[in-house]
Amino acid sequence: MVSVDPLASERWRSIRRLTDRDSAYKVPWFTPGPENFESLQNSKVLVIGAGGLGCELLKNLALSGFRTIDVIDMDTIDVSNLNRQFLFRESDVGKSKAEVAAAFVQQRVSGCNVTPHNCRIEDKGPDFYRRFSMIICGLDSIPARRWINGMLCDLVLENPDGTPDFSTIIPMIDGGTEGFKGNARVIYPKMSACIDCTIDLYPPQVNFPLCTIAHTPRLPEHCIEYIKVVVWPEEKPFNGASLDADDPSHVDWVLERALHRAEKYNIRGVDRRLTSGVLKRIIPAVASTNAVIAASCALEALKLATNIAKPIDNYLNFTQIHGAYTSVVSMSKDENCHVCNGGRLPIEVSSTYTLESLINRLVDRYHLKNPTLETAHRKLYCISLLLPQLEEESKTNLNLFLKDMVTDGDEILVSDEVLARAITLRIQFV
Amino acid sequence: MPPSASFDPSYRYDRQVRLWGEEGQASIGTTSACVLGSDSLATETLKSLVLAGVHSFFVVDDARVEHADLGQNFFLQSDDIGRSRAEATLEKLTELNPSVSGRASCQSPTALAQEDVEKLATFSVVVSANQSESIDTKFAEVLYNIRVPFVCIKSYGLIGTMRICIKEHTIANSHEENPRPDLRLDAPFKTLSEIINETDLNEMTVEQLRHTPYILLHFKALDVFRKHRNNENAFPETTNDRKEIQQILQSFRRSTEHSGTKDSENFDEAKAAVMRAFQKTTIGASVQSILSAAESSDSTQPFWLICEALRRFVKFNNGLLPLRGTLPDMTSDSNRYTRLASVFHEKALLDAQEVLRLTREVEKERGVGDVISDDVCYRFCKNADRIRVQHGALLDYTRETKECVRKVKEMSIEEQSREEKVDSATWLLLMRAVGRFRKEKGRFPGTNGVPVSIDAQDLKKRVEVLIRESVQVSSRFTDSPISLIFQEEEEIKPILHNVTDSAIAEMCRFGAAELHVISSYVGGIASQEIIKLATNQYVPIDNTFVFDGHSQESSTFKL
Repeated sequence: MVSVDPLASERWRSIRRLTDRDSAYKVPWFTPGPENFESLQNSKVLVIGAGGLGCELLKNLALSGFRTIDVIDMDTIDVSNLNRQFLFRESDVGKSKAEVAAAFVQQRVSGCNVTPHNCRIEDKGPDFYRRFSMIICGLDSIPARRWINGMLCDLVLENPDGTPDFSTIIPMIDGGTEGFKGNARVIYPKMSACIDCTIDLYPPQVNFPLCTIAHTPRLPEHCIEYIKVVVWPEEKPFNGASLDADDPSHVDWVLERALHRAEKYNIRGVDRRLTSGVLKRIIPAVASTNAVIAASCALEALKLATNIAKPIDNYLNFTQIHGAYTSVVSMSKDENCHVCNGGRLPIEVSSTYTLESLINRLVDRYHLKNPTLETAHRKLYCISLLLPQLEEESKTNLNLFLKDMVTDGDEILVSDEVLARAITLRIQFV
Repeated sequence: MPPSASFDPSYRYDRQVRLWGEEGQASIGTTSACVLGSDSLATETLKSLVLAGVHSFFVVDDARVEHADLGQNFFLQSDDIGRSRAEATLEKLTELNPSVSGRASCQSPTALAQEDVEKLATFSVVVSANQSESIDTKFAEVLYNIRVPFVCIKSYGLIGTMRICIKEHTIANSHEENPRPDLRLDAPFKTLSEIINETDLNEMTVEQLRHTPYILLHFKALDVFRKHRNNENAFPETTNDRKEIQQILQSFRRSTEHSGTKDSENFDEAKAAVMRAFQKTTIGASVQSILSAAESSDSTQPFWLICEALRRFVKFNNGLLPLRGTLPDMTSDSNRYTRLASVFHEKALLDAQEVLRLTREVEKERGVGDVISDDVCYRFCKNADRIRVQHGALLDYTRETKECVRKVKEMSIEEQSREEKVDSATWLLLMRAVGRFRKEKGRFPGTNGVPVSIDAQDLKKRVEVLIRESVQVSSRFTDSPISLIFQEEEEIKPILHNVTDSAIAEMCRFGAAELHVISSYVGGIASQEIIKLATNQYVPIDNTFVFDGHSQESSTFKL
């Protein structure tokens, strides 16, 4: 029998085996045929971040057949990126990550158009994000994830009956890595668990208490933090410049003084690597973990675009320290999520609440950094260099009872740098 | 940034050296990898190794670049069509890291297998990417005996597999997460005892008490515990004993006149740490067996030299391993914490020096020079309670297929979910059936334009044959030939039932598709495992890994 493989000389042969053939494991509404691959080729995807995950994602998407890819990143290339961000060379150091990555992939994978955006994600508005059929994130920052998550939730319109209009839902695939660990997840804004529904998955940032670093240091990190937090602002070196952890002369300045402090307290372990690690809050990173997580994310993108197999439901954990381990868990939507609820929520508070107890609760609940609270009439709490006159009043307010400042049913607007959008809380005294 | 700092090679590797240390980076820097194949699975594996900074690599493949390569291999581009794929990928891989050198050979892995495979002994690791079972088998046998790690990886449709084949692998630093602290509560060393004896909780002000590191509170609580028992060697053994320690700790608390509260962080930490800290300092069974093996070994490998020294150290050190020497962080004033941290550190240095002295003895006995440096010895001693040895098994597809069949047999699948999800062992068995199909028909199922439904029947026959072959051997002791056939059929039926037609059809749907994302996933896993092998750090997969892209779940088997 002489048979001919119709795809024998086809560039996309491998993918088309899956898009052109039926399967028991497909998404129920999948119909095999060439139009599946065509629709994949015609879909527009956005990659956020052109770093360790971003470089891998661009490659993976281009080699999965996606032809229209946008990439957004505000960063420039550093030598320490080169151990994993394989689209960059030493001669690219200092250039825009988005631009170099886009040009490289476009040149390597013919027919693929990659458009770079060398800017912050906040610089783009709803009209920009609405153009994409899905968004894939390779970010190292939680506030940035919360911002894009909020944007995509806001883009979802409602039908007259209050249900989400499916045509306005842009799925978000989010990857993250740290050392040999990582995670990947699929989010359908307003339909499934979003970043803020599961904000407690992210450990809050560890900050050393000021009294420890100032009076009872015992770890090398304490010495470095002390120089950063106390000595630098006091001595104002480099003509009062703010501390730039990317500037080697600044790192040296801190290192020298941290060593001195460590010697005074008989603490071992201050060195240049630790100093730059503490100052920049460096997350260790290797090529292999980024490859695995980006492949997981791109595989989900391929599934979403073609329905060749069911997407994960909905959160994947990965670690490769002891063997290799993966697990997929289904995260539940939080019915009280402020993002999914359009930023407007009731909050029950006891009549014995002070402003401080409310703020502590909100900081804990929403992982806030430095919230501002205000009613329609006045600011209740605001610590900002731009509004120094409010600081004293804010601090006085902390000890006041909430019931003396607002009445039942009043709304308090809570804003913070980590929130994409302010939260409006309707007070209900209980 | 000034150029001097920006092109410092150590800065290129900064983010990974934070994980495996300068010593790990140095080991990677001496690693040379040989890869059989140059498809995207091969290049994705090499990509992460080149980026990590291996010394060199060697690509072996006779394939020429085709159109389908451009749809899956990132290290090729349009104008490479028709060129040697090994050479074309080599060019683009070496661009990734100027300090790594690469070579390519246009010989086929099959031809290489005919030659003297032992010349591969110069490589630190050999990787087989999507090669046939006969090539894997041939290389595995030779490499196993010359102790070169062999990593077999496959990317097939939505399935990825990896088999690590190595006779023996030693692990000096497992990087165990949250290891139990080595505090020696049951056996304090001299300089630590001095600090404990100087400490009198009753003489302290409340302020001093609240800044006392919890390890001192633990020792003081142990004193009271021993007085209660009237036994100066008593040590909490049971959970109830440890609860008693917690109660004693509670009784040490004092309130300030000012606030009246007894709350204090160091006591909270002390209480929380009781269950983990109050453990006898013993040597775990796996370390014990390594030490016994070291005595009878005559190996001159650094790991075994130092293990024999370690065994001698333990013998003369009351059965105790060298002190780890790191004190966990705990609330304290600076002075007492750093003093304690120093005595722990200094004792660990002393122990390591003694181990080094003994290592020199062993080196001399075994006729080698000074192999072990101070640094290596010190780091080894710090992790001595978590050293490991993995014993591998030779790659043997017949034996391993039997294992897969046994796993598939033991599976209990609910009727309603059997069409939804396929077990990893089933995928592995199906990969073997595809291998058999390819060997017998010279092509993969679902290719050449043959309808999937026809190849599915052919593939199912091969699944049945594989099961039959596996079952046959296991029931060879039955006497009557008729009952044997009957028994065999009875045994085969439920196993075959567990391999659903849907799963068989899915393998045919793949039609030898190599999806870039699956290759990239498996390549990422494989490169990290190779780094584990090269650095003797972390714990490699032992020995088979299966990834299912449908569910994105994975499993590990020891075959």
